[in-house]
Amino acid sequence: MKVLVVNNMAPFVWGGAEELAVNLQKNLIAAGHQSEVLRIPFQWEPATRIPSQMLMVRALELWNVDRVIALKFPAYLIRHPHKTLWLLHQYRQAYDLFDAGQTNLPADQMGSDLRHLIHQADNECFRESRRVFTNSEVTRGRLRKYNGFDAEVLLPPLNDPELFPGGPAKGYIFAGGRINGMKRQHLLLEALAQTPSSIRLLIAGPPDTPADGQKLVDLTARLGLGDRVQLDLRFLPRRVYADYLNGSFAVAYLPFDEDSLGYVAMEAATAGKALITTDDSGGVLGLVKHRQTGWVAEPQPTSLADVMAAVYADSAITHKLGTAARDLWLAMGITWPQTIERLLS
Amino acid sequence: MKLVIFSPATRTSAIGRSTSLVTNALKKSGHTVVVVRSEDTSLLNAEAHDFGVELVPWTKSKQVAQLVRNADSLVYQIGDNFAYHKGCLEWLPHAPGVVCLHDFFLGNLFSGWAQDHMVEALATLRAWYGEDAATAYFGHSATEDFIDATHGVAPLTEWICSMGYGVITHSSWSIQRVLDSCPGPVEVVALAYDAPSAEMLKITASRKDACETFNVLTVGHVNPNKRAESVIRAIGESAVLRSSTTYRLVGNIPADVSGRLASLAKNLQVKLVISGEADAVTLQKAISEAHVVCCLRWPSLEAASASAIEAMLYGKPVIVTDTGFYAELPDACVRKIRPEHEISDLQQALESLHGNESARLALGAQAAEWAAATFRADNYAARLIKVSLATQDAAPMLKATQALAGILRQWEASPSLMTSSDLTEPLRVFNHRQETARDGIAIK
Repeated sequence: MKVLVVNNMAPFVWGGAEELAVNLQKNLIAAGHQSEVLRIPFQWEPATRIPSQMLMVRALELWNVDRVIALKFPAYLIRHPHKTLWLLHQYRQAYDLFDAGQTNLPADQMGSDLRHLIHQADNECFRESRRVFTNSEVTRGRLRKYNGFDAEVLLPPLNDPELFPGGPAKGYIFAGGRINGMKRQHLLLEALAQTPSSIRLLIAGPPDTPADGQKLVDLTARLGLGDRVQLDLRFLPRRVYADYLNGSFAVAYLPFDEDSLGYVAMEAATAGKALITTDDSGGVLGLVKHRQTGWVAEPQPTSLADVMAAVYADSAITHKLGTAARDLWLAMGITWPQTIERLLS
Repeated sequence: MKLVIFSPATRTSAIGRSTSLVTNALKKSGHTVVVVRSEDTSLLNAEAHDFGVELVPWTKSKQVAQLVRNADSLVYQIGDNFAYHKGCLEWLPHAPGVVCLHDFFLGNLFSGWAQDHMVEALATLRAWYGEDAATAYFGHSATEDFIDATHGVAPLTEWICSMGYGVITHSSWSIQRVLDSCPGPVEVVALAYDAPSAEMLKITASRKDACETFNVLTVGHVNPNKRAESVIRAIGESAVLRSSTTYRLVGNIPADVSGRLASLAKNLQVKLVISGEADAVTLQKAISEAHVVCCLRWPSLEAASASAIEAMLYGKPVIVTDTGFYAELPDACVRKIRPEHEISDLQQALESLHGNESARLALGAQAAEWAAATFRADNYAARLIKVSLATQDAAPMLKATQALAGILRQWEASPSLMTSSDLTEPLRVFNHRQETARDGIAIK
């Protein structure tokens, strides 16, 4: 079967969704299908430019394709008679982030009109799709709440589990992944300033914008944490990233209301590392159970500082929680062959 | 070129009369024309103007569909009368073409159509004018209230023009709404009209002019915006006019309006003659007997006035309101009165014409000469062909535009969003600025 994976593209930005698309393609081919990834450019700033991009996606016509598996807004608006959605992202700034006051839509009638347009286009797309899967319970709940559509949750498998066998801890808490305000690495720095000086932090990953990276550099300097924090702010080779994670004491990942379990959390669990997150981190909470597989803090520095101190307080407990995180992940039985079978069912 | 023209054909329709002139001119230029009669079924058998071509009722679906398929250009004559243009509304959305727009205000046409299309009508109002306009639109009890409340904010010009691939209209005064809504070429062309008995009537009129009482005439359906009441007041407030003037109304008049005007005239001691709806011969006789024709409008709703043009073609002094189409008439050919000083200006104009026969004759002669050179069927036919060709050239772009606009409508995009530069600029299909000028084609 010829299966086209359709995803967005923000030039020179690479994250979990891009990894997922590539690995979906790879595993479709491994399952005996032909597969390619169609990446459609999407620029969400300014928000008033979003409708023209939605229209252009909608105007595309596909030939020589048996199935489409579409992942994100607005790429999933593409027309095809046999389209399956594996929903990673709606345009959250028109939904839950709008309610949370974290939207880039204008605060006027135009903003309301844009929001209505996005909702209507999404609803049309969900109606016309043969199947709708989501990548987490959070995404599923959001879809049900805002659009009235139900979906089956299909958690994304890890793409390269062999890179995360774990290993001896080298004495730091690791915070990996994209660097931006939504991932809240700055909270970890503010928390670290309230912990004993023996605790160290390694933040590594590509900033979305130069300003996102500079903010962490400045904050580290302002809090006088230069000797306790290592910032490796770049797009890391997978091996370097894996070495950082495998050598950590615990892994912190604090996105605001993440849609999915999150690759960072899945990789940490695979490596048997205890996890730190916050109680508003959404899908990540599927893997992080307080004092069972890690710690769930409040999203503010004092609470996080307590948790970071707990990581160092008893290394045996930290190790035990990491092992439990790996057990929980393996028990979920999330593999690519099963995922492909569901997507093409 | 093979043209199919959707138009009312009944002899009581001025638009039908204009179309018949254009049709004959097109035929004379070697084009093939079929006219599809657009009236309500109850009027389809009424006596028709002489089009000189085959007339097909719009209700003969298979035959019309066949004509549409084979046509090079489809033309829709649209005015604010649902009974006359019902068939246009049935075919235009499915087979777009050139719209010849005779009225900028289309509220009566829209209201008639809305009776059987209420959901679409409300959606149309919402899309063009917003929720408040949609909510209030059908709540007016009297015709004059309805026109007063809607002509400025929701004239429905855009509703029709957005369905056309191109628009010909007959004056520029309310052109912006046309430009904002029509995706294709827009041209302003002088209406085609004639005065078949003009020479004879001029001779008759000049013979009688000196010995008659002073006859003032208003022609057409007696709506409040034709200002008959103001004419009566202007005459009644002038001793010289009151004693020597007969004011005649020729055209359909509702009984309540007739009674009200008669009562007012009686109180003001004005001699009023209400003739009601008349055939062509009676109308021509009325014009021939008139010393002055009053073509007042407030508010102004039409793209052009057949009655003003006809009066000018007959060489009559015409008094108009300085607004809309009438304001675009040359100052030397008509007397214009200011709407905010309506009665005093009108009284002054009537008194000056009453007392000066040579001025009347000179004004009428100038009007007749200009009107005969301007409101020509051959000119209109040539322009119609030009717009049809421009529309053909623009059709692929327009179809693409419509497809994208259709997607946006499906997503319930608001008008402001659909016209925002952030949407149109990247798409490069909506955003060509358009200019228009009399006798000049402008393609977006």
